[in-house]
Amino acid sequence: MNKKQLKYVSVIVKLAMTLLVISPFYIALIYSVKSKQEMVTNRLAFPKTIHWDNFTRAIETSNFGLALKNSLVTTVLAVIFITLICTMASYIIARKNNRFYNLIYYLFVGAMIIPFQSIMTPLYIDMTRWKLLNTLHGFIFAKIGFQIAFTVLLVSGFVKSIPKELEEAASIDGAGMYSVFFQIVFPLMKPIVLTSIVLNALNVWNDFQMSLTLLQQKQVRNIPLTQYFFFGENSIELGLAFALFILSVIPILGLYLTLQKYIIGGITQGAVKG
Amino acid sequence: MKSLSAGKTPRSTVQSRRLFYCILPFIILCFLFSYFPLYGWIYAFFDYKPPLKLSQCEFVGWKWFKTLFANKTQIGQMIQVMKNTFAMSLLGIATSILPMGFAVFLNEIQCRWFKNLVQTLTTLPNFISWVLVYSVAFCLFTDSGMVNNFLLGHGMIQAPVKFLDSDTHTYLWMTMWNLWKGLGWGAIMYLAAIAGIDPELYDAARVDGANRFQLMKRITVPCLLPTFFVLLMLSIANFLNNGMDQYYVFQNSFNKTHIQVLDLYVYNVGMTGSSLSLATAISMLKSLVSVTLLLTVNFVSKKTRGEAII
Repeated sequence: MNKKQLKYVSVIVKLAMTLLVISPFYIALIYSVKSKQEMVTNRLAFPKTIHWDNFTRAIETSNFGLALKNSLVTTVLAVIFITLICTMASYIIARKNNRFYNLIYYLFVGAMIIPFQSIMTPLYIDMTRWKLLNTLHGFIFAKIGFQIAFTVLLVSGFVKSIPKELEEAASIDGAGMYSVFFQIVFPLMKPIVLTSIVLNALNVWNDFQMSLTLLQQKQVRNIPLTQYFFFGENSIELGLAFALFILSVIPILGLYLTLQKYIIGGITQGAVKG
Repeated sequence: MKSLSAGKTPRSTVQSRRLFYCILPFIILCFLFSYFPLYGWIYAFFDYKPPLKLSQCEFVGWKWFKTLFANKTQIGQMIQVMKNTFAMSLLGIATSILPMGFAVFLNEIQCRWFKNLVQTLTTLPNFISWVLVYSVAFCLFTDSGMVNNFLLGHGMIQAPVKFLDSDTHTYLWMTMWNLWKGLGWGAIMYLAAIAGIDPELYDAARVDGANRFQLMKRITVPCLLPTFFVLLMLSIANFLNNGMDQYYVFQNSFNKTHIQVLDLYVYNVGMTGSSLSLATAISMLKSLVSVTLLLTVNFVSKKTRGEAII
């Protein structure tokens, strides 16, 4: 195989794979803006007139507004807390590199190897007892508790690579503990903070298993649950279903596309560390 | 704490304490949600009925563990569940070579924007949840879905094909969806590793007259093997953890026999089968096996590569 042939083959393989991967998105997009008549006549072509009716009806029947509110509240609050907590905790753990803080580090990381299934039922029972079942704040607490481990692992590895000299200089100049952290260290941590924001936001936003266990009543359903029950409760109208899909995908894809650089950066760092 | 304060000025001791108090609440939070529920394993030894307190429930000892292997139907069910779990994990491991191939080919593209575009687009599905994957699958493949409409419309079939409500090729379907969702994401790891390969290796090989295909075979692939090995180890450690989301959303009364992996089984027994105690017992066994696997793999990795994976 010579150079040119190889190039063509690889480009064709790439194109085919890419098309295969994004075709469902394309189909969902065009079906959601088609009227029923047009769905029968032209299937895969772009619609002649854009038809927003599917979206308005999907929002009404699935109670999408409430789900969006629940998802936004849980994701935003959980991510803010996780980010603040974990950056500070990782900073302390990485800088105070003594036996005590190493123990705490292993305590956090050890939590990662406990599979969710093994504590799912006890967690459910505990949450009922603590009156946190079917509440958004209960879900946020549980989510924070679970994500701390992973985020501390991610961030503290990064903090170790930041040189100490800057902080020492700042504290010699009389800066206190908090101003050293917020004015010197935090800005340097920006890439990893953004990575952890994206990964955590995706995790909380897309979470299905924990929401299914902890949020069982209608008024606290988030987007994944709403989506799931929508298919169980309604006879399916394709346009409507695709419209709901598009609506649920938009926020997370927006976040991914804007912060994409940092996700890949973060993964790369993790990979290099092995 | 003794070693901490030894030989330091009072100011720094106070500061250390303050720092510690800052993270204390979160240690408690992490503990409360990750470790504390482990105490709930005690439910596996009781006949727990939800509204009652544990003290009001009967202590049954190893009953639930014995129930698992008590009669033929139970054993049969367990074997089927384990078969599904093994099948999905093995298929996952078998297809884990594909992201590597994808990355190697992607790297051959010279045009930067095209490469980035392909990478971005193929990574997209990783960021949508399984519920959304299912909803797309549903819209495409259900009786009145797009594919059936299309085939019927063109007279290729007489009656709608049941893609989802059937038990044929369940493993294959699940693996395909898994690949669709994870291929691009899996490739990122390898692309990072490729970026780390020393360019001098390529230059030296080119001087010796190697063509692109040979470069790929002799340099890129061997350099990626360590990454592949680490990921393989991790997937062996996660052999029993297929996750539940995917199988939960795709399950229905038709494909239940072949889709019920261990994680899903625990959920079905615990949350819908109304025996929390039995579910706890199964998950307990599962966790013990998982953690053992992880530690073994880590040990093997330490011995063979001189480097632990966790």
